Amino acid sequence: MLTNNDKITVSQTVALLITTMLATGILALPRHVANIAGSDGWLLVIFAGITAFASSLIVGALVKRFPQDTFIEYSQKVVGKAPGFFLGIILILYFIFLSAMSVRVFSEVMNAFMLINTPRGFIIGTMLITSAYLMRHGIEPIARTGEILLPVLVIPIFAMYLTALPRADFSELLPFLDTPAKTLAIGTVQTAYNFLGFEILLMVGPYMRSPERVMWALYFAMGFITLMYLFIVVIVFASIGVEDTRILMWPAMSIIRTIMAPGGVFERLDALALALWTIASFTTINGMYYAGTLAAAHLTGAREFKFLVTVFLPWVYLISIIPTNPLDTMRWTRLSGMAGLVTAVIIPAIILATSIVTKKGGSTS
Amino acid sequence: MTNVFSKLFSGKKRDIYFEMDISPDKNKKLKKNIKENEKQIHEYLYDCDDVITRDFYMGQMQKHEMALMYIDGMVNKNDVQEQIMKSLMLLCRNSPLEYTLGQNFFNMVKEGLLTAADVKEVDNFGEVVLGILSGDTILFIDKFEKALIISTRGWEKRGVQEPTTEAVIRGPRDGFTETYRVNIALIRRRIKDPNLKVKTIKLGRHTRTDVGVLFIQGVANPNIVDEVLKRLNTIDMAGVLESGYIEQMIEGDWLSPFPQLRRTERPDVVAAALMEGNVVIVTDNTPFVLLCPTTLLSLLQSPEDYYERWYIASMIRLLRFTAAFFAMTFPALYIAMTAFHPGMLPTDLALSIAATREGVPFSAVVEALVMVFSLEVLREAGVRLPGPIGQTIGIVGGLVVGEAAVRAGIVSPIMVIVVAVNAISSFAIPNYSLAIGFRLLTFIFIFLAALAGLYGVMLGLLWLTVHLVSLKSFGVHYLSPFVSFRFSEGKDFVVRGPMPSMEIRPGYTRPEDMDRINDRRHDNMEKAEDENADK
Repeated sequence: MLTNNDKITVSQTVALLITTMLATGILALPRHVANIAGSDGWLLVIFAGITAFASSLIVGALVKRFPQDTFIEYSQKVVGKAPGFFLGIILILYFIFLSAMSVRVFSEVMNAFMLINTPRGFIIGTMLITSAYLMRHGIEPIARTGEILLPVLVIPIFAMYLTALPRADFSELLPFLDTPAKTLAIGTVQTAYNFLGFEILLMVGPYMRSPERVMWALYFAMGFITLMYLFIVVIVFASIGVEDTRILMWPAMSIIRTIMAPGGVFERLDALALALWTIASFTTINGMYYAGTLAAAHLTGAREFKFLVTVFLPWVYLISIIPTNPLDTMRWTRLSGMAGLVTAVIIPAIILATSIVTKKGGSTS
Repeated sequence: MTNVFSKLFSGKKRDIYFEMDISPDKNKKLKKNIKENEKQIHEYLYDCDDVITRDFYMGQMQKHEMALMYIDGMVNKNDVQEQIMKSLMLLCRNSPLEYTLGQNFFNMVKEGLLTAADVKEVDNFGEVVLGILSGDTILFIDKFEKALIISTRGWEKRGVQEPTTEAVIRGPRDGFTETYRVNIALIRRRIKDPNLKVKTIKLGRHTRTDVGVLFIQGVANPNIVDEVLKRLNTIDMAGVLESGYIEQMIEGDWLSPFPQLRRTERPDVVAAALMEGNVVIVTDNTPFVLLCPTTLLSLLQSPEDYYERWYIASMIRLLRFTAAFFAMTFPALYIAMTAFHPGMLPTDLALSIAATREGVPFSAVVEALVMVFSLEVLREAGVRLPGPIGQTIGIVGGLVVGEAAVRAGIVSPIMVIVVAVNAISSFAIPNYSLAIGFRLLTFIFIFLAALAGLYGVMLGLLWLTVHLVSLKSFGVHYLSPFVSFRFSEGKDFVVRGPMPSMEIRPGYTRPEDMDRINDRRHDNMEKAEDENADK
């Protein structure tokens, strides 16, 4: 079909999921949870992880139910041609919007820490072109890129934050459970959008070599991401304190600036960190952008997949430069979180429920 | 995009070569009359003054007319005299020949009289002419529509010497030569297995170069063998002078800076590759043998990785990986650090760099470009010059240019160090083509670093990753086993595991037979224990 018939393995799916979920958003996550729940913020990460995991299971169930189809096809099968088509368009718009937001957040971080005077158009443009270059090769190279970049990304991140450990003061995590349950509940939903990315399975599902093992991929990827986020949030809280975390724009980045690398080779690790976040954003954009183009290709029945990659490029760029300043970007990412709630949770849930009620899919395929 | 390029470069396809058959047809049969045959050959080879014809008569009655044809200098004259002429003219003069043998006379000559080892019967002009041109001697016998090709090939050739481009501390010292048969023999001597197959084809319309495809049946993946043969058969070019011609004709992605075939001068490397399921292409007239499929990892390996003990081999491998990274990015990282992110360096270091750069009129980028460029020129000059003068270049380059440039304040001493580390790193890569590819990328990385600092370097690395991930050599992932990593292959990867633990062959070629090493060291011990128990 489309570019190639290549299928991806389960381990490649895990890599694709983790690298898509792991995004620059993590840099702001400690501030976000600190603002909502103070020193209980790290609990939010766990709760949000569990919530996201639960919603990802819906997507997983859909993949298992329709192992041959993407969301575009089965939504039309389940709820009818016209509504399914409409849902497909929503999905495309959502993925395009999310890739635009990912690249925008990345450019904000770059402008804040590394390339202060570089126009953001340059950063966004080069990043998107790099991503489009990969897109043109199809699903298998994308998954393989994820597979290669995952260890390159994760191991240094852990190592980097571990160097902050000697100065960490874990009493900053106290008082424990000081936040009202209602705040925690609302905060959980608000935090959950940091775990978005698993919904690319709506499109990538049928490209798996063994879709029946999709749940394994989800257990592993969601568990890994939750632990990683928890680790970073705890380290940030313990290193600079909850109060400081609240006022910093990108606290997870700021603590890296305070780390002195062992051996004195580098004064600060922020350049290394930004190199890593470049990879993280790149893989996130890849996942979203690819899912969006794939959805469009399936929806229009287009033969030329590569052409669509190029068609979407200016649109992603234009959407990404809409926010006027970093704070505006933050507001827009919250909007993308809401959109994610609708697209990644509610719509799949409706489709799954309808398909169970109408007994479509499953054993037939 | 490839299409556009090929359209740009190829122009109109010239069919003329296919019509102009430069060699006589295989369907053109030999005549009965020896003079007619000779005349015909001279028609094909007119104005070829190096073709020698020797007419002579044989037997007591001098009744049998015969003729020898060969090219002067391509044959071993001693062989022609001793093995052919002496046996035909002298040794059997007094033996009573049956003149009534008729058709059997030809066989008598072939099987009973000639003392040469390698004799082949042919009946057409095509093979005769090719035989003459290849250095064989042709024996015509009057009244027979057949001729004998007697292998007398022997020309001035270089002996088996130590390969200069792939020296090792430990390992065999013999290297391939320019002679096809010698090269095949060097490989055969190492693998005495009837499953080692040698398929010879001739490539090049003018050169008719012998090209051998070697593989071990039952190990090599048949898909790869077929793919190699298929691609070789599409080659239609005027001449094949070196295996590089073939490499460039059959590689998959010619826009890539990375070599997609491995070349080696060492028979032991070829033998090892054959046992990993590789297909080997041996080309006449060059000591460089091609191995395919190729992975990035195999290009970063040296035969010593397997001859040395595993700790040492693993350490050297890790060193090479680091070197490969620095060979690409070191000047770029320096530029990014100093020009864009000086805050990242420790204050003392930043200050000392700033102090050495004081008085240097150029930016770090220009400085780096000047130095890397002059280093490339020095390297190139060093390659061209004969040995003793080559060393002078080293002194001129290292001392005069480096030292003087620093003294004159054109470049900073730190930049000299950076470029030197970069160059040394690239020399640590065993494969020259790969090292050159990395040095080419150095320039691109310098530009990227000048454009956007570390972000530019990262972009470059991402592009590189994407390119490498999508690159394939004969259907095999260029980055395997980094992609689709399997733990069993991990023993021969970044680290080279202890020899007894490497039980399977590397999986990148999907070999048919995976067994590599069976660890039987404990068999005897167990047997001894059993015997002891019995007693």
